[in-house]
Amino acid sequence: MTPLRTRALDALRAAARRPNPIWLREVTQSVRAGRTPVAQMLVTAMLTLVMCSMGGMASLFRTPASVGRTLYQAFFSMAFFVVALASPAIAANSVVSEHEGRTWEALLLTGMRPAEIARGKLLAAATTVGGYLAMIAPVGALPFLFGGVAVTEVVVGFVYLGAFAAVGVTFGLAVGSRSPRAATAIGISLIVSFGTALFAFGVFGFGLSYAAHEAWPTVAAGHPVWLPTAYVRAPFGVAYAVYLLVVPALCALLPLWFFYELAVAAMTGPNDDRATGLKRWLLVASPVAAIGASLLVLVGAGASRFDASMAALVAYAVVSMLLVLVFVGDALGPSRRVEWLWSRAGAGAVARWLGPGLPRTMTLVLVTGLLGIALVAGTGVVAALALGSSPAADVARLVAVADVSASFFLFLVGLATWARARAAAASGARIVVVVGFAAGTFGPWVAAMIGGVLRSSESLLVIASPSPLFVVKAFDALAAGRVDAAVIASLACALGWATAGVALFAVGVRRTGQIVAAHHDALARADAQLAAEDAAAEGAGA
Amino acid sequence: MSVTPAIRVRHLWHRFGQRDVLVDVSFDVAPGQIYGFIGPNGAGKTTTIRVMATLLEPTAGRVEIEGHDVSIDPEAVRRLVGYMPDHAGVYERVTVREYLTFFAGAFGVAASRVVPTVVELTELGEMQHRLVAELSKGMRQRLQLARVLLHDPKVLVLDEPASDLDPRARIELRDLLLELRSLGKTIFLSSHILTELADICTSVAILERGRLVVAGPIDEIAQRLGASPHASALDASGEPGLVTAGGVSVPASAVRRLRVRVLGPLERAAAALAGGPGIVSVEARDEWLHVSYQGDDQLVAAVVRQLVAHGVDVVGCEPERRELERIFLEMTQGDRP
Repeated sequence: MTPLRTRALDALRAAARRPNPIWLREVTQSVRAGRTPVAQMLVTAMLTLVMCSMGGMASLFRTPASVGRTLYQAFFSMAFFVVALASPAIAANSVVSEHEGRTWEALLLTGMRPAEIARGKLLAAATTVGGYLAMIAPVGALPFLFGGVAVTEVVVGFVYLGAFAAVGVTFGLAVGSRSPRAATAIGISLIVSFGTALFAFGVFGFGLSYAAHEAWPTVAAGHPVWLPTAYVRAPFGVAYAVYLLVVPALCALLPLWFFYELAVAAMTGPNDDRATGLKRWLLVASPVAAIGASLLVLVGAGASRFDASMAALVAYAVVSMLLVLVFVGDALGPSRRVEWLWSRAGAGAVARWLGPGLPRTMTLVLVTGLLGIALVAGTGVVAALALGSSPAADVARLVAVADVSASFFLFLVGLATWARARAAAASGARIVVVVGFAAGTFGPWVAAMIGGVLRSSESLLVIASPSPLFVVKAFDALAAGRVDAAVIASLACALGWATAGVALFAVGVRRTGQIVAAHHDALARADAQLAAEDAAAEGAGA
Repeated sequence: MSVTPAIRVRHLWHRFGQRDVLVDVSFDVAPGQIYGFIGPNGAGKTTTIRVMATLLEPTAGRVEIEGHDVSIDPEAVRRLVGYMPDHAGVYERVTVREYLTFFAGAFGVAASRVVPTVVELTELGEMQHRLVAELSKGMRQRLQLARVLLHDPKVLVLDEPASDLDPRARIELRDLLLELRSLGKTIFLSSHILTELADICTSVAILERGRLVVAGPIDEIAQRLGASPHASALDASGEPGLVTAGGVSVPASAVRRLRVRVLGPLERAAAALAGGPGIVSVEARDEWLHVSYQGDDQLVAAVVRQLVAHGVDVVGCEPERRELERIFLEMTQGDRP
């Protein structure tokens, strides 16, 4: 049996032997409050009413099977929004209520680790959301009774609701652990989850249903709840495995793990190790996401392959840039406590490398990001060369986008390292990064517009070339195999961003090293003073 | 070999923004003591306590609990300390027993073993099936104390434990703390109410505007301070002093005070002691005999023997606690510039 499996089994046995006390207490409180069951009944009653009304009206004009399919779409669409909105809010409130109720410190002082607290909160919120799902389950089975819907579709639909709930709950936990007040936490989680749910429903629901219909004609186009249907109706093959198994699993697991680590880091004290969990996630998630994106590119069909390559590349680069904002919050170096714990545990080089410390963290962000961009772009290039209709043009455009993305990403990492080394707090560095991103991406276009060049002369648009978005202007020339001013300007600016990034990174790392060394010197001096006092006191006592 | 202090605070500094909240605070608390931490509101008491409880990182300096540095090994410190904050929150929709069972689980101790013990110690037995929301402030405070006792900590750190309590609840809390001390706990408690501390503390530290004004056993501080309300003469060194019944001038720093509760006429008891060896003055007021004396605990025993020999029934005897008020007033400046 592998050590990992042994550890997992041990953890499961321990969890069964000693259930998380926070989970048990929250469930007890929730049941006693009476508010939760009432809310669950209200949601169920409303869904039932809507479903019955729709079913009643539709059955006047349509066949039962058609009514069943309509009700199925309606039910799971509504349930998706209920879960997407309720899960984060419930989890966020669960964490913030500890702060507002002034019970958080009592909890911390019990010696429970932040991860254990986070798991208790997760389980509690998941139990509440699970209660909602259990209550609405009979309503969800109604479409099956009308026909036109397989039982597997209903079951898979609920599995997906559970997955959305799990991601929503961990997101809410991450928001709640960083918010001082319940109103703020619930407000942020509702706004973000509503926007995300709307986007996901429109793009991944309605939008992708057409692509799914193209790939598998038995899946209806324009039906937002197409995934469960695809499981039943699509023929099993490589595309099935990638689109319906690998990618959905990654889309659920990677954010879930990320939000969990984010929440645990936020619950952990500033002098403790907040970095290892998040860095471990990055180390796994970055290549896995790149491989997943590459698989999408390889499995894509015909002309859509280039679009998929470009979308995967841009999405990967943007997410990497957003992650800079997360990881710039790391401590400049390991605290004395962390070093003491490492020494006590006999931590090896890898454990120390994954621990707190800005230079190592930003190096990891940089390396994983660049490798990921290279992998996704490389896969796109290979796919274009092997299967593309116009390989040279596609390759040129992909390489240009990868080059510009990687350069700007490198600049942002350098800027973040430099800013964090100079700022007293991570928030200051984050502001600098956001301003740097906005100024670099949109500033040149604004400058171009202010100059009125957008109207007067196309060639003067080169003013906007520092923006990574400018690479789009070079597409036509690249596709035609020409090297014009736009191409040269775009690539020159990319080189400029990369050079600036390397320089800023080097300065930031050097300054961080100086600060950490000065801190160690101060601690050593304080230790020496205290030791001298002890010696003097002992001498006086003798 | 010297005994390791239960709490050791050394050159503690803490800064919020540009303001120094604690400035070079140092003191030791010996094991088994009830140690009072006195200071006006905003003096830095809670900040010091939160550093001790591992909830706040010191800007500089070191705090050790039973030899463990709070900054380096907070996990060990959390196992040793029971911290009860001022105005702590509670989970209201659970019963007292569920509340304690939850925290026992969180501490990782067997609830079936510790909860009944703690319930008995804190006399929460009759309340254990009531919802926490239904408890009075005094009972909630008692519940908080029960919570911090669940993991059997060696050191109790209590921040304003009697604030908002009615007189009965205060007396009950005081008795409970004395009982906990008898169980070997070191108790560190803060307050700005001197009478609250005077009855139970053996040592104090006074903090004002983030600086430690004085720290140590109350008697020693009183002796160091010297001047007393009863001072009426100057000794050879010019130090304010007292004159005994025999006309001997005694430096005030050498004078200690105790009060004795007796049955029967106070005047008769006062007469029995007046002029005795080491006795500086005897005063009968407020149903107590207030005795100023020069000597050690042997003399206190002799005072009791003397009273009994004269047929006086002695009910109790304790150090004069108004010392604390005097110390506080003399050592702190209040709003004076």
